[in-house]
Amino acid sequence: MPRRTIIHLDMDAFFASVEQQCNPRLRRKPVAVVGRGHRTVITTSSYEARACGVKTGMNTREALRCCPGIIFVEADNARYTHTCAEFAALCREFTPLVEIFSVDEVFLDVSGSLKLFNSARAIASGIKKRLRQQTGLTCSAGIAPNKLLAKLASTMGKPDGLVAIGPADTPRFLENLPVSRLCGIGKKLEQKLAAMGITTCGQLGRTPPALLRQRFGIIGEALDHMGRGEDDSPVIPLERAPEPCSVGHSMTLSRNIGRRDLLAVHLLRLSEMVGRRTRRGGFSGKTVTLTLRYADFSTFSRQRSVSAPICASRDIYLVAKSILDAIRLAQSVRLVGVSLSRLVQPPRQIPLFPEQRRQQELTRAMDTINNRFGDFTVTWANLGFLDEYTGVISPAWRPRGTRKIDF
Amino acid sequence: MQEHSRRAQCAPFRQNPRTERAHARRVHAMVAFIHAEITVGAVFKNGRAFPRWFLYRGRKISVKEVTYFWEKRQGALIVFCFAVTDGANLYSLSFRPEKLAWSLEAVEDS
Repeated sequence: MPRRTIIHLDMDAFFASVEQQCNPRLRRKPVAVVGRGHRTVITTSSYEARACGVKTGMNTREALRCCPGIIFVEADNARYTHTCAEFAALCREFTPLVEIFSVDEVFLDVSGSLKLFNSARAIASGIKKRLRQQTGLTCSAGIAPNKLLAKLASTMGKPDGLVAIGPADTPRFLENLPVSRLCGIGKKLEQKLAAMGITTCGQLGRTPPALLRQRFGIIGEALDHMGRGEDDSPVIPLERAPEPCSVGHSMTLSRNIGRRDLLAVHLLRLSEMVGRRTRRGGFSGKTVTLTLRYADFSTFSRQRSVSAPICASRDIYLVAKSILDAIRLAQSVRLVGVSLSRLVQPPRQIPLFPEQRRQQELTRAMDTINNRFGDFTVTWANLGFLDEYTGVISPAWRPRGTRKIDF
Repeated sequence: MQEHSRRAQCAPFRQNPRTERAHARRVHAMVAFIHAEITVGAVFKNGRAFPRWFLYRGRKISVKEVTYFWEKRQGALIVFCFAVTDGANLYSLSFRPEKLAWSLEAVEDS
């Protein structure tokens, strides 16, 4: 494979930094960004709060115990998604190969841009400087021959850092690095590797590939490469990103619900959101999956397939409801999710029966109005009493296409 | 447009006395949601708008700093949003290009 130069850029304490930039009174203070409602956790916190031990995922009580002076700020997702889109546009001034990895991380393949901009360091420094000038925000940059090492490098110099790893530095860099630092190795995999006596990347790289394949199957092959710092995955810009395999939405309820009729209302809202996004992408799907999380946090999913692909919100809801009706609820429910998978792009076909044509026209009319004036401008009467859905930014969010959600 | 004030995110915390401290931390200032059309003087430069002053409650407020800018969508419409400060208070302004109208969305005073 020809030699590549990859840059990974990671915004520093993104949401909290945006809020501190917006409101000068929050600057240099411990700030934590939270969701709406009382059932919320810390989405991210400023470095001042992190110094007191505040971590993402803590609830507000725990955060207050760590840091009594902490200031909670409600998330404004429109600010963060706009900033992400602007950041990606800025990166595209240096290379067309920009992959949005998440709302606050991008990969750049600058292999073809080095002659124009002298060096990868110059590109990374230029982007950091422009970002600070345009928004007041900072990011950390990692430069390496591949995405795996570039992402590792960007974490080494946070905040506002710039770290480069050359091919010759890789073995020394990885030797004593804990395996959990590699993107793709979570707690469970870390424990399984530890059970084999593998705790560092150096040890992982020296483990016989056959042993890893025997223990982990096809993932073993990937682990072998990761241990040696090898990664030939390309940087995929948005235009070339594959279409989604499924479209789904889930929500944590403001209070646990045991009544089926109330759960059904939330199913209807989620089905409408799934249906809107599916139709916008020109897709239909054949499998509906219902996910429930009980009050004790046990989570399970059930799915049902239909003979013909569907995309109408009502049809998705009816299938999801039929799944719910077949479940004996053991406890009250705190989270509900609906997703549509086995997506296809079916040919346009006029329905045979008048009732189906009427439903299709109704869906089209609702979509036209909601596209013009905003989601849920016209909606099902049952949803009238529900609070406005604010939602969180999914890791799969992108500024364009089926994965785009407006906040 | 009716002006109304409320403590943001207050209801869940108010219900439980044990979270009173959490409530105090969460709302460190009074946020008043206004959502009213106002008169704004702005400079348009390099494809961006920079509000310089606006009229509120009979006073002319000079913008000391535009602290942040973002766009959000309402259906097909784009709304340009600005967080500005006069050095004392923080204001949230919005501009709707289809109406060429500015609005004061919220005021946060110390």
